[in-house]
Amino acid sequence: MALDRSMSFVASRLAFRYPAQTHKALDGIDLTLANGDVTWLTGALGSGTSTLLLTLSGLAPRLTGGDLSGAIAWNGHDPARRSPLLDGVAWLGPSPGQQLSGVARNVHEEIAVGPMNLGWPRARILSAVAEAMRRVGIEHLAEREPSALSGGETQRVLIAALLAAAPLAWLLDEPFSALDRDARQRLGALLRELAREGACVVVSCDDAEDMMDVADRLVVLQQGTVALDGDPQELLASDAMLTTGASTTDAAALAAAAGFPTPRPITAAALISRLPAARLPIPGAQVARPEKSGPQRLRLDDVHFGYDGGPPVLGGVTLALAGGAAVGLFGANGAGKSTLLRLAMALEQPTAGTVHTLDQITAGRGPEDLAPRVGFLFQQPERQLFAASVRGECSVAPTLAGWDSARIRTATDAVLAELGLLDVAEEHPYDLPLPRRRLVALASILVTDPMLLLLDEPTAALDGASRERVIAAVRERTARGAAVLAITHDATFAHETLDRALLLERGRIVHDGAVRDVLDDRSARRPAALTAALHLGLEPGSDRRQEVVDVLTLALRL
Amino acid sequence: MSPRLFALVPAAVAINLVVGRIAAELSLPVYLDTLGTMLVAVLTGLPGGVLVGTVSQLLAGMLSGYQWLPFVVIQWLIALLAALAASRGGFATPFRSAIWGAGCGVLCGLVSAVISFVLFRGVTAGGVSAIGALLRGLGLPLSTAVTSASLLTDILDKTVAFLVVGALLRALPRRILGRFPVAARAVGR
Amino acid sequence: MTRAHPFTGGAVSLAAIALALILPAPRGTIALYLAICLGAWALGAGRAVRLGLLAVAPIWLLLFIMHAVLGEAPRLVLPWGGTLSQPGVDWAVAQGSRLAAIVTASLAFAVRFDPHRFLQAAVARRWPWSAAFLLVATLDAAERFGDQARRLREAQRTRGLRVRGSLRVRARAVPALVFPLLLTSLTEADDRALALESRGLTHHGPRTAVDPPEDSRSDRIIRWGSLTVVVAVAWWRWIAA
Repeated sequence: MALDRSMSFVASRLAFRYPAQTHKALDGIDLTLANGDVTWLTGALGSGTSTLLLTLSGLAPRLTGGDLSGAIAWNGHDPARRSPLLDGVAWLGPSPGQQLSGVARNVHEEIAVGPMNLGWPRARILSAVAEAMRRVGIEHLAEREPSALSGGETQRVLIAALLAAAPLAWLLDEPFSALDRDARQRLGALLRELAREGACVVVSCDDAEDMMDVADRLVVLQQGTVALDGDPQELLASDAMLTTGASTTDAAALAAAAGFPTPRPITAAALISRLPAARLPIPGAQVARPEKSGPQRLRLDDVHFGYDGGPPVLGGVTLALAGGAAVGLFGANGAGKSTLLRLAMALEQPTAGTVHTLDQITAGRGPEDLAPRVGFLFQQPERQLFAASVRGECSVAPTLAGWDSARIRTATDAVLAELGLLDVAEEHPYDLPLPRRRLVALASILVTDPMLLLLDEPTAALDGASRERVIAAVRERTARGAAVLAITHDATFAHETLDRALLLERGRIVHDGAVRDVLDDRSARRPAALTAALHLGLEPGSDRRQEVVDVLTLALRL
Repeated sequence: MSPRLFALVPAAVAINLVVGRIAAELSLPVYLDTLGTMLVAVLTGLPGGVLVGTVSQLLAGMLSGYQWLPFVVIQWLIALLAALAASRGGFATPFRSAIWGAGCGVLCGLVSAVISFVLFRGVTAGGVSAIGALLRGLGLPLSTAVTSASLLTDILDKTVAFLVVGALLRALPRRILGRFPVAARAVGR
Repeated sequence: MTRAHPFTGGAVSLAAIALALILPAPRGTIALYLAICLGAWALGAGRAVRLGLLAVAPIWLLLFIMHAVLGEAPRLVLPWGGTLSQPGVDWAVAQGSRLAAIVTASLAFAVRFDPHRFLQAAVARRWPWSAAFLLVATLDAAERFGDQARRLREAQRTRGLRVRGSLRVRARAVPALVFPLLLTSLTEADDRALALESRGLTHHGPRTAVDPPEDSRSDRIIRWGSLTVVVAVAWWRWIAA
């Protein structure tokens, strides 16, 4: 498909303000995006990347309301007239669950929705759907029910659904967020392919590792203006990225923390190549972490469980967690990870065996009996918030537990400070961007200082800064004697907080050992900190970030 | 129909259904099965509310039989009164919400008593008819028993519903208020 | 067995409901109720008969109390003692069978209703898109919100919320169980509208049915037959008499 190079987005002096907001989300953007290029948009939380995609698609202000000034042209005309799909523009929002049509019985129909709405002939639709499924690699999902898909599967179905309508331009907001490592690589390759075929591809993405090899051009926004615009590899290796608050690669961040001069290495391999080959004598780095031997927080004795009428989910799980322990649950979908957390919280009762949570047996108890000394963080925890302020939300659990107001005040102040939420304490949680809303949910659980934390994907969909907060909070809690049991797909979180990993397979624990044995490089990308730690031959358990930075600093000096 | 109504109407109908189920699960003496209708009427105006009410009643028909379809009039009445209350600052305080709710309850109670008496001779589903039967057993004439039962349940239900919606509206995030400017007027801002 | 066209089931159910309102009670409505039960059972919608019984049982009980027991004179003397109202019993039987027929016909339609085939049929027939979309999207939303409400209840319980106990305790649980549903649906309404718009679902224009259900000759015969029966019975009942 030969495309005219002039068919692209042109924004001039573009400014945009959402309704009822005082500040501008975009403030004077001049940008020309070329066909055949993959452009990567990034920036700190609230920098305006999502808004830029919305205005380019014409969806803002037409659907969102708000004031737009300046001009946008797509293919020489104003995009703000009708559904972008009709003009050959594919826009994909950041939360996959919200994007399903709700009218399709299976994935095949879901992908056909766009072409159906465009009124294409039936034969053309069927071949476009088949081709889109093939290119995205989801033929095996064709007969599945859309609402029963996992987040990552949903994301890939949505990309296929847009692809089937043969768009000329792609505006993608965090398309990698729910994907596993293989799917990420596959999507990166697809984006390159689309650009090579002549499409204009624009991706807003917070994770530098996903885009650095895919993008032709990096545009960094800062408070609604273009702060940097250039070659991705060059910018990532420079100092400029750090000043914008945008997240860079783990390797570049480590190198910066260790004081490497620019241009810095931006991949783990490049980082390691700068290190001396010999093992270094590093004081302090080889200190083994103390054995966890605090009071018992959770104990499962030969626990069996199956949902009503279903096959067994857990078949004899025995497990003990002492205070200070941080343990990860790993395994495929359906291995029984969530069920295990639910049993610990008395949301389910074992069919055989016993569960002791803190000092209580869960039999005959419900979750409200274990609160507030046990904290349970669900997936999408922001959907449980209902108070009119962040502080009010944090007061819910202590109020239900009967704490007096002075104690509540002290506890909320402390937890809000810990998670960096004091400046928004009086804001409505729903006015905060999603990552901070998730932090509010975490704060509302940590506020009562639970001695056992049950966490289900605590860092999903968080930006770099918010993830650091969560990691710091979890480490602080284990240091204070709480035990943590977490389900996670986030390698950085796993390596930096967990000290033991349990691998579940078909309802049994098949492995109990170091995180790095269980979380292989295939299922989740290893952070550069871990790769460097392994290279340096640090003791197991010493793959913590600061220790690696110390070693790198020392290595640099030698 | 605007894209926003395409998104809001199914959600609001689902809210009617699901919140009604929550009230039943908590064994509360109220139905709370019109919150979605009220919210959409308050935030987007009467037509949206009427649409939500109508679709809700059609869906309820699929689940419990189409004989109750005439009660769709009650849904429209609630949409009308919620929209009216919103335009007059009727949700500004709990007190004002309760007054508007009680007023709505009286009107809804009277209209549903007429429907119930004329079309069903006082026997419809649920607790209203049980209360009606009780009053009838105490010796009240059928029309009086049906009307009193309807009024009693509807005043309580609508007062609580208006109180709940008022509490929600007064504590809406700025981001929703910005998108639905009417909500600010509803709470007297 | 090939499946009937989605409109056929709807037409038959509507005809049954119309007949329930037209046919003379109690003999006509009782016969109709039995016929509907038999038909539903034969067409694999036996669940509708059971659900229908559950739905009408309390109504039957209330009809019996309100009209048969508490009804007007003249009274029937029962062989084992006690009396019942004659007009009350007549009404209870008439209304009870009529409502049972309507409930069962409605539920039989619901049990056999396939939203996606219906949508395809509606698109193929160029029915108004917004109406068809609203119906199907609402059923989808009801399911999603039901799941969300269940998860929410669990989440709030893990924060210490009690959902059993005195009326005061239960009433105070309402905001925690209800507000998040309302707040997320309002904040997500815009996201949802953006998603629908970007997929072309809000566009008013001709669409293609990807998988249009087959409309066979027997489907058409059944639909026209249903209409004919209703018209004929109405004529017999109101004009011929």
